[in-house]
Amino acid sequence: MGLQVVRPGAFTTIQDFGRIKYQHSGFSEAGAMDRRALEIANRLVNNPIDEAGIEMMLTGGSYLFDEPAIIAMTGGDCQPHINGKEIPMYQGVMVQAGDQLATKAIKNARFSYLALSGGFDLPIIMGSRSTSTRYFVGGFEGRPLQAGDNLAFRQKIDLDQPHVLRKWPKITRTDRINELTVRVIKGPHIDMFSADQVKRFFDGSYHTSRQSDRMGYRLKGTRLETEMQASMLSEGTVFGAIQIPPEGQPIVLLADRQTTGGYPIIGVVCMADLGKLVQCPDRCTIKFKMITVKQAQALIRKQKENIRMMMETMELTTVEPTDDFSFTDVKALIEAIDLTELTLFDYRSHNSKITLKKHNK
Amino acid sequence: MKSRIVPFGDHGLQIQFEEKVDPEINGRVHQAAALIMSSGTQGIKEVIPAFRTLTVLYEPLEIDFQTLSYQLKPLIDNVGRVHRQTKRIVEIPVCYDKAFGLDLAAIAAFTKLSIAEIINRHSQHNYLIYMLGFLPGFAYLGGLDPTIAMPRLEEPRIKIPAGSVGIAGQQTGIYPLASPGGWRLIGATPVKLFNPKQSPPVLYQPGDYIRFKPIDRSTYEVVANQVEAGTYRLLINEVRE
Repeated sequence: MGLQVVRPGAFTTIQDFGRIKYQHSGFSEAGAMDRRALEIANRLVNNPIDEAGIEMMLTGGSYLFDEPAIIAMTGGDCQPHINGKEIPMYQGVMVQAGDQLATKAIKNARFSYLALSGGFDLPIIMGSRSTSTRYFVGGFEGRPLQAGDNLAFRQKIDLDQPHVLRKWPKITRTDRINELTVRVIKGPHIDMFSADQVKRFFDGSYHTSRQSDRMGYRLKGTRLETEMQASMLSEGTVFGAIQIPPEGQPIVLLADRQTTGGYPIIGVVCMADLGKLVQCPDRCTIKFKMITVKQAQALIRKQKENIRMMMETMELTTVEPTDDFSFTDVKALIEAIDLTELTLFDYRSHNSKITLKKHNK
Repeated sequence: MKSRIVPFGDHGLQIQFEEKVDPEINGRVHQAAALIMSSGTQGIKEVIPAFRTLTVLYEPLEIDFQTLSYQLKPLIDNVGRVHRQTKRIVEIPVCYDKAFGLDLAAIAAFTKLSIAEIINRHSQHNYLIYMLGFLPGFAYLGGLDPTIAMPRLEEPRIKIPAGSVGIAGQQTGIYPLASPGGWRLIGATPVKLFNPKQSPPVLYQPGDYIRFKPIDRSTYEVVANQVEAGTYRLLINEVRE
C-alpha cells in the first residue's frame, strides 16, 4: 500500500534537508538540491518544512497510488497529470486510490519535487531520510527509485473528514531563462587569486557543462589561473562553494559534494540564490556578483519572510467528504461477501450506487 | 599561536590555524571542535575538522556571522591551554598477504627492503587521524615511515575493493568503499570502516590514532565472518600521553 513507482525517470531520489551531523566522519550531506522548492511543497501539504519528498531530475516520472493522499508538486514545471488530466503545480491536490500520476520532462529547469501529506514511511538513518547514492545509505534502499518500488505512507488520510487544500499565491516562472546572476560571498581562498583573476571571474560568464550532477556543477566559460602551484591541504566544504581546480574552470559544490576538498575556493553562492543556480537550465548564461556576508544573510532572511507572507495569503479550499464509495471501499466490500451467493453486482460511480442481490434461500 | 575566523559563505565559517601538517596544530583543530560542539552555542549545526582548519556550519536564520564569530573567539583563544590526557589508539587488523598486497613486490623493489621489513615498518607505528573526509570513514593519516613511501601507480586501477590498505606517496590509508584509485596496495582489512546503522557510524574520530595489526590469511577469514555476523569488536586502547 502507498505509492508504486511505474516509471522512475532519470535519477529520482528521496530527499529531505540532508544528513548534516556526520560530515566530520566523511558522510556527504545529500538532501534536496532546491531546498526552497521542497520547503514550499511541504508547506502546501502541511508537513514540517524538511520532510522527505521525491526529487525528480530532468525527466520526471510516473507513480500509481494504492491509497488516497494529498500531494503537492513544486520546483521545475513537469506538467503533472492524474489519469491523463493535467493538475496544477504549487497546489495541494487530492489523489484517490487507483490514480496514476505522470509527469512530462521538466521544462526549463532540472528538479521537481513531490511532497506527500504525512510523509513516506522510510527509516531515518543517521538523522535523515535523504538518499546518498555515493555510499548507498538512506531514502529507498540507498539508491534512486526503480520501477516497482513501493513507498508506504506514514499517515492514512481519512476521507470521511474534510481536508484543506492549499494553493501557492505566486505564479512561479516557467519560461526560459537566458541569463542568471548568482550572488556570491568571497571565498576563504580568494587571496590565492590575483586581483586580475578575481576580476576575470566576476566579469566572466559561464554555463553548466555536461559534467553536472548532484555532487556539483562543472561550469565552462572564462578560464582562471591560481597563483598557487603547490597543492593545498584538504579542508571541509560547504553547499555552494565555488572551487577552481588547476584547469581553471569553476566547479560549484552541491548537495552530494565530498565533505572535504583541496582546491582553492574563490567564492560561495549565497543560500538565497542556490535554488536558482541548481535549477539553471543548460545553455543559460551564469554571471557572478560579489556581495557581503551581511547582505547574503539579509537576503536569506528576506526569502524566508516572503515564504511566510505567501503562507498567509494562500488560497485555501476545503474538500468535504463525499458519500461516494472509493475504489478501496468497493474492493473491500467484494472481498467481504460470499460471491457464490451473489446473483447481481452493479456498481456505478459518481454519486455511486452499488446494488448487490443475494439468493433467496 | 595565531588563529583567525573567516566567513565561508553565509552559512559557514572557517577557523584557520597555521598552514602546516603538524600534529600539534591539528590537535588545536580537534580541541576547538570539541569546545565548540560542547559549548551549546546557538545555531551551530556541524563542525568539520581538517589538517589546520575547522569548518563550522550554522543556521543563519538563528545567528549571524558577526555574532557567532564574536562568541567563538574566546573559545578558540582557550585552545592549546588544556592538554588531552589520553590518546585513543584504534587497532585495525590487516592481512598483508600477497593476495591483497598486490604492490608489495613493487615497493620492495623500489625501496630495496624485504617485504617482511616493509610490513614491519608499516605496522609498528601509531598513525594520527588528521581528519576524515573524501569518503565515509576515510582517514587522512600522518606519520608514514618515509623509507617505505612510494609514488602512486601511473595508471590507476579501475576498482580497488573496500578494505584495501595502500600507500600513496607519504600517505597511507584504507579504502572504506570500493572505488577506482592509484594507491599502491599492501594489504586489506576485513573490518568494515563504517556502518550507518550503528551509532556512531564510524568507530574512530579525527584526533584518534590508528595502528595496523598484521594478521594471517586464516585470521582474516575468521574476522571477516565475525564482521559479517556483527560480533566483531575493534580493539581500542586508551593510553596516557
